[in-house]
Order: sequence, then structure tokens, then C-alpha cells
Amino acid sequence: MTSAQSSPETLQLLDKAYKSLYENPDKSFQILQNIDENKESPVIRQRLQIILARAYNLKGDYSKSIEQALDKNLNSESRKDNSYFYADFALSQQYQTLRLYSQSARISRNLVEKSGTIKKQQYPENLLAQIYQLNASNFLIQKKWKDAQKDLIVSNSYLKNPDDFIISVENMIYQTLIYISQNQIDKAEKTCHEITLKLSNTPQYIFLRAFNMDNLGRIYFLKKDYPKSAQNLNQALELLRNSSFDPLKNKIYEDLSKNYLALKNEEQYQKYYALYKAETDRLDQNKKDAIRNLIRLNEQYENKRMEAADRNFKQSLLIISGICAAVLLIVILLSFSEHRKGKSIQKQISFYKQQQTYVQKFETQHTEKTEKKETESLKKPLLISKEKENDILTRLEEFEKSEKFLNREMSLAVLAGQMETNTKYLSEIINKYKEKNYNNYINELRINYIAYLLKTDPSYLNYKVSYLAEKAGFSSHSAFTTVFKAVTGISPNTYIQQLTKK
Amino acid sequence: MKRLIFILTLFSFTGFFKSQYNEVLYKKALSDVYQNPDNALKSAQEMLKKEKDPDHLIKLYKLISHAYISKRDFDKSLDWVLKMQELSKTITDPEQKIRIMNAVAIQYQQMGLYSKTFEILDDTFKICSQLPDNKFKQYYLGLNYAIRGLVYKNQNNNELALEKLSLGLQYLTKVGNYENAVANSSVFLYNIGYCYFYLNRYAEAERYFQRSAAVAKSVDAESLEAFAYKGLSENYTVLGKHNLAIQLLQKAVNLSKKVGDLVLSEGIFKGFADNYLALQDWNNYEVYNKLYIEAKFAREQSELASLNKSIDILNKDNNGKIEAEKNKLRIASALIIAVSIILFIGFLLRFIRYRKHNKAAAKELNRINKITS
Repeated sequence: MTSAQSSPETLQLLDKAYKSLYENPDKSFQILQNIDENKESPVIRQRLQIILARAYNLKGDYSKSIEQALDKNLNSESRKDNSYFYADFALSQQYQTLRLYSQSARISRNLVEKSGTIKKQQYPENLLAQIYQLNASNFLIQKKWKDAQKDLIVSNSYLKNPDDFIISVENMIYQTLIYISQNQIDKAEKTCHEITLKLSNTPQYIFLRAFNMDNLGRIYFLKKDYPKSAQNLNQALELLRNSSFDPLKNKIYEDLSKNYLALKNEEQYQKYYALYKAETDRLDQNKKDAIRNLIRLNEQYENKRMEAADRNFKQSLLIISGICAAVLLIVILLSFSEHRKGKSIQKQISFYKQQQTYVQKFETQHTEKTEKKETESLKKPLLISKEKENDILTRLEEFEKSEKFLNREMSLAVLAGQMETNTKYLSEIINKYKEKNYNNYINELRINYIAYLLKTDPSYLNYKVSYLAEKAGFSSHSAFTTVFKAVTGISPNTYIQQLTKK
Repeated sequence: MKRLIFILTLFSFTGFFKSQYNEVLYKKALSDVYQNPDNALKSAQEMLKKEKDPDHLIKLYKLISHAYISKRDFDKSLDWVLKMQELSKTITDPEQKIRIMNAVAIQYQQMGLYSKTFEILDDTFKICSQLPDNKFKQYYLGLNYAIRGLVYKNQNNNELALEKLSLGLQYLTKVGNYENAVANSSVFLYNIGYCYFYLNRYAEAERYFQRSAAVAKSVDAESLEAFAYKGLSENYTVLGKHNLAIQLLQKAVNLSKKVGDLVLSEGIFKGFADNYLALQDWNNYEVYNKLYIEAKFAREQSELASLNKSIDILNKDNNGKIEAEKNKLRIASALIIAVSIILFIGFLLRFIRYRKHNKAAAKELNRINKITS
């Protein structure tokens, strides 16, 4: 029955305040003063506000009732929250009090339609039973007795707890009203007596008792038993003497004045008629003020509803696009990783292919192959003389077979010096014949050499990568790794692992 | 009671419609004030565009202000009252100025802003007192007192109300039928009658109700006459003269048929029900009690009709907007999902192609590896 974060004391106080509503609304105010609203969860706050609203309502202070029911609820609550049932319920109640019946009926109908989604445990005062009761009372006003009856039965079916005592009595009172409206006086009288009996153990609920007595008074009036009617009405009034149930009192004044008129007791008639008239004027004025408030709050309420719908819209859109984006991202990532894998495999293939030729080259160190290159060199027109070119190519060939490229100082300028040519020529020839720039050229030579060493001399497999890097003429471990990966498609460690496996 | 005051304000203006200004349109808008305030507003604002005559302007301002009251939009209503007040400041002719300020006072009184009402009434009184003695001065001083009386009556201060209304009445009796003064004096008499009634001084109440009826009859103001009979019968009811009360109510019914005023009908039905009840005429009581309850319900609901309508419209509009938003959401999500599916399939195909390609390449790599190792 409780929501997780609220203390049992708070819940007890709320329960007590709710029951006090029917004893004296002023007592409810006192009890609720002990709860610090700001510390409580939204649901507790809403329960508190609804009890306060009801207390003001029973007193006939409609403006304040509205403020409690709506003003604060509007500010604190998001409609997505399950708790908006409270707000709607409160709004519908307020509309009914202020005679805006079609509005009240519209909302209560809506609540009944949605009642399937109400989580019972979240609403301790048995909101479901109250919603059906409210809808029944709206039907009653619309003179749809049968529908009212049906909803009262549904409301009753939700009453299982002993705590639902008050709602069950209220339902019986509504039942009496239905009987009276349908002119089934005997049934109404019977129900009234049942209520009296039921309430005999709880004399503190004077509101319910007085209400019942007023109904009984009306029944005796309809049976033309005016003295008995007046007696009941006076008893009801006596019960309410020290409490502030002003609207109910006013109803009794009206009924009493009619009775005294029938009894030709002019003095009493005048007295109660005057009381009724003055009180009606006052309550009507309260209602008018409340309506002004309600209009303003209704606009806010509608705005809230729109905002919630808007938020809902954005959220749904965000969720859908989020899911779509996530799914897309996964497939894109998969596709990219496969693409990269493909590239790496391609590199490995070309590396291994190259290494085959490298190994061959190394092993047949003395076989000359310059002629072949000559035919290739015809591909592009050159600015450099053929002899010079051949000369440089031969020297490069020798350079590749040597281990000079492992020298860390080996730069384009140094190499050009060794080849007895200038950097421009050298770089152009490397570009054209090797189809790569100087850096890539020298790096590939180094990596191929190291890879060759690793493959042919198992002792190298035990060396650290940093040693291999130094050996290959790289200034740092990371530069070596990067270049190794770029050339072979795999990292040096993976390469070593592959070799050790074999 | 409010409707009566409304009648009073109408009478105070009937004197000077002449120009080319369209009275028919105005009356149409006026009749819409309660049932269809939006229409009333629209046509009044339309009429306002061509209007220069301050008297007509004031009437239109008042109409608009009323329509907003009927919509319970008191802020906007007040805006138009303030416009009236502004207009009164630009006018130099004291008589016209007084007329306008009087209208402003009544408007404030209707809105329940009593201190504002008194403020304006005080200003009007000052200007009025400086005028030379003539019918205009007498008439507007009379109205000035009477409006004060009505405010006190609304505040349930019947003694003071009585005093002011009687003063107002004295002034009005001096001017003949200047600007419908006779009809207005019937309204004053009626209200004085009720003041006495509420003070339990039934003999005086009877006298004043009777005078009110007689005065109304003399100028054929049938609704006012019916109101007076209703008051008189209520007085008789209290005194136990039920047969007399019923006779008067029958007179009132005949007169009110043409008027169709809900407040009046409600009062009459209640009178009938009460008196038949007192006479133990059960059948008639039941008939009229039912009629009374229905009339009361209808009156209350008619007062709230425009309000209900505006709430309904707001609610419907918003439901429509929410529905449109939901549709938009459906379309947008369908679009997003469609585009995503296309992209998804595209990338999936790419992925499959790469994968196939990679498998082939891996085989090739293995082959080469075997050779090299």
C-alpha cells in the first residue's frame, strides 16, 4: 500500500487526515500541517493536496480548493508520470463542484476508460473505486440513472479493504440519491436506515451521518411527513453545529425552509429561508471566484498536456532514431572492420609475395638482372640520361643487397652522395622505378630485411621488438611498429607469433 | 440581479441612437453575448472599425467587455473598460464624459470590482455637481446614488443600499421620463423592495414592489412589471398569503412569456412551487418544483455555456494538435525507419561482399604463407 520512500508516520497522518475530512475539515488541516510537503515524494504530495482540496471543498471554500487541487499539481507533475490520474481526478471533481458538468463528465469518462492502466497499489485511497463513484455522480446529474447504477456497482466491486468503509458509505448515499430521483421512496428509505446502522459504530463521521439524515429528511418530506422530516433535518443541523461543512448546512437550510413552509410555520420558514438565501449568495460568489481561477488553471493544465505530448513526441522520435542509429552503427562498424581486415590481408599477401622475391634476391646475390629493369624503364620519358640512370639503378641494386640501409643516418642526401648523384635525380628514379617515395622505399627495405632475418634466423624471434627496431635503423619502437604494420599489414608481434607457431 | 442592472444600463443609452450606425447588427451581437460570445466579439470589432461617434464607441466597448466577461476572461474585459476610461479622458463635453464614466462604473460593478466602481462614481459625482441644474444633472446624480446602492446591496449591506437607492429615486422622480428615467425608477423601486424584504420589513417591501409594478406598467416595461410581481409574491409567500402570491405569479407568467428571461422564470417557478407547497397542493407543487429545478439548472448552465464552450474548444483544439503530432510522429518514424533500413541493407551487402572477399584473400594468404615458410 505504500510507496517506497515515504515514512510510515506520513502515511498514517495522511490516512488520519483523510478520515478527518468526514469529521471536520478544519481537523484535517491541523493534521496535514504536520507533514512537510517539500520532503515528500510527488505521489504523497498529490495525495496531500487532494485531501486539502477536498477539505476546502467540503467547507465551501472553492477557490482554495481549486488552488490545492490544481495549482500545485500542475507545477510539480509530469503527465507521463502515472500520478496524473490524481490530477485528472481532482480536476473532474472541481468541475463538478463548479457545475461545469459536461467538463467533469468528459474527464471522469476518460478516467474510467483508462482505469485498466491504474496500478492499484499506487493509490492508497482506492482511486479506482473513487473514479467510478465520480463517474456515477456525473451520470446522476445527467439523469442517466441506469448508467449511474452500473458505475456504483463497479465502484463497490473494488471495495475489499476495511479502509474502504467511507467510500462504501458514500456509494450507499449516492444510491439513496438515485432512488430518490427515481421516486423509489421506499427503497431510498431502506438504504438510509442501512446507512444509519452502518454508521452507528463510527459516530465521528458526522458529515456522512448528517448527509444521510438530510436524505432521510427529504424522504419524509416526500412522504409528506413534515414533522418527522423537520426532526431529522434539525438533528442533522445539530450534528454539524461545530463544524464547517457549509455547503451541506446550506442544503439542510433549504430543506428545512421548505418543510416549515409546508408546516405553515412562517417564522421558522423566514429564518431558514433567509439563512439559505444568504449562504447561497456567498457560496455562489465563491464559485464564481473559483471559476475565474479554474479558467486560468485549465489553460495551464492544457498547456501542460500539450507540453507532455510534445515531449512525448520528441522522446519517441529520439528513441526511434537512437535505435536505428545504433543498429546502423553496428553494421557500419562491422563493414568497416571487415574492410580494414581486407586491407590488412591484402598487405600481408603483397608483403609475403614481395618477401618471396626478396628471399630469392638475397639468395642469388650475384645474379645480375639489370637488363630487365631497362625494358621497364622505357615506360616513362626521362629527363636524365640513360647512362646516368642505369648507373644509379645498378648502384641501388647493390645498395639493396647490402645492409647499408639499416644505418640510422641513411637519408636521401647521404644515399645520393654514395651514388655520386644529386638528391633530385635519386628521388626521381626511386619514384619512377620503385613507385614509392624515398622514405617508403628505405622503410620497406628495412622491414623486409628484418622479416627475412626473423624468418631465417630463429634466434631473432627471442629478441625484443625494441631491439629489432634499433637493428632495423628506426629511432623508436613505435615508429618501427607503425612502419612494420604499414608494410606487412600485421604488427611485428603478430608476425613473430605467426612464425613461432610454425 | 445582474441582468436587471444590465437592463438598466440599456435603458440609460436608448435615448440617443440616431446616426447611420447599424442598430440591428448591434442588437444581434448583444443577443450573442451569452450564447456565442466569440461571434459577438467578432461583429463588435468589425463595427468598431468604422465607428467614430464616442457614444457608439462606448456601446461597442461595453459589448466587447461584456462578451469577455461571459467568456470569463476578466483581464481582457478590463482592458476594454480601461479603453472606455481612456476615451472619457479625451472628451471635453462634460455631459458626454459623465455618460461614459457612468458606463465604466456599471461595468466595474458587474465585474465585482466595487472599490473601482466607487472611485469612478466619486469622480463622476464631482463633475456632475459642477453642472448647472438641469434634467441631465438630476438624472445622473440619481444614477450615481443608485449604482452605489446596488453595490451595497450586492454586499448584503441592505440599510446603506436602501439609503442610496432612495436618494437616487428622489433625483429620478424630478426629471419626468428623461432618458427612460421612469423605467429606471421602476428598477430602483424593485431593488428597494428587496432591501426591505431582506430586512424583514415586509409591509414596506410590499409597498415598493407595488410601486415598481405600477411605474413599470405606466411605460409598458413588461419584464420590469413581471419582476416586480415576482418580488411582491415572494413577499406574500413569507407573509403566508399564498393565494395572493399565486395570483401575482400568474400575472408575472403572462408578462414574462414575451421576455423569456431565465432568471425571471426561475423565480416565478420557485414562487409557484413554494406557495403550492404551503397550500398542500401536492400535484401543483410537484409540477412547479420540477419546473423550478429545471429552470435553475438551465439558468446555471446558460451562464456557464460560453465557458463550457471555450473549454471544449480548447480541449478539442489540443486533442487535434496532439493527434496531428501523433501523425507526424508516425510519418517521421516511418521515414527514419525506411531510410535506416535502406542504409542498413546497403552496409550489410557491403559487409557481406568484404567478408567473401576476405575469406578468399585469407585462403590466398595461407597458400602464400605455406610457400614462404
